[in-house]
Amino acid sequence: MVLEEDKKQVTVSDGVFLQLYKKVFPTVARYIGKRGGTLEEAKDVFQDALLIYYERVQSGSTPIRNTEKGYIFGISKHLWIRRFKQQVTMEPLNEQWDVPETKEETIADRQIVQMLKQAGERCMQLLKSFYYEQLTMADLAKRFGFASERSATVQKFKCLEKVRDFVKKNIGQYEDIIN
Amino acid sequence: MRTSLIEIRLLEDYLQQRLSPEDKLLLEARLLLEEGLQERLSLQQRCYQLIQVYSRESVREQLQRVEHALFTQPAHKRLVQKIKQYFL
Repeated sequence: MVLEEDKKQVTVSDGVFLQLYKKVFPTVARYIGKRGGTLEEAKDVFQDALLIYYERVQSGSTPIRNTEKGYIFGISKHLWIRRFKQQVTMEPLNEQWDVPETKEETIADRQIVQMLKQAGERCMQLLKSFYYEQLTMADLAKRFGFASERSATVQKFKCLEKVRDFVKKNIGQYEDIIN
Repeated sequence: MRTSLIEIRLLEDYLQQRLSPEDKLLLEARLLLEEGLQERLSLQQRCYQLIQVYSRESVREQLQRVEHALFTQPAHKRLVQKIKQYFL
């Protein structure tokens, strides 16, 4: 599996995702095209499917009985059916693809993330590497150039504190966005 | 590590259910008694959600870049033509 092999690398490269697009997207496009979907809808569904697949690989929760192509196609199919409510009764969903929502982020979340990026992109990248990509402290230290795992740990908590302070400081503006 | 960072680590361990029953109980008592601690805990929980949003946005940006490359680079022209035929 291309993505699983790449998990140990420093970062998932564009090339790995391009391989997946070339390998799986034509099948997904044909499936959606046959059911009256547009190319833009197929692109959208496939992007969500890749994101879900990526997150599952990161968390080590991909079922080993599926091939990579079969798995991504399964997620895409599920997303298409759920999104457009087509053929639900004709094609019962397989429980193994209990796909979570990927677009549940609110506009307010995205606004505050934009503010956080401006306040400290490097800290956000570091926190992403640890909490989302689930890098080990050793890999985190290597990626960000820290002398030791201990330094990386301290920096991670400093970044978290910085983000927390920023959120607290901007909570008024944040609530304005929410309301 | 300074005190405020030690507290952040403790709150993270609590949120991720890594504390022993004794430490959990102790922290829950502190949350009731210590001014501002509950607020710091809620803010920290919010931070993890925002890190998730930021991270997903980064991956989406990367996927959009890759998709754009696939549909615009001459090397993939034949494959793209094949894909477009599914929507005629």
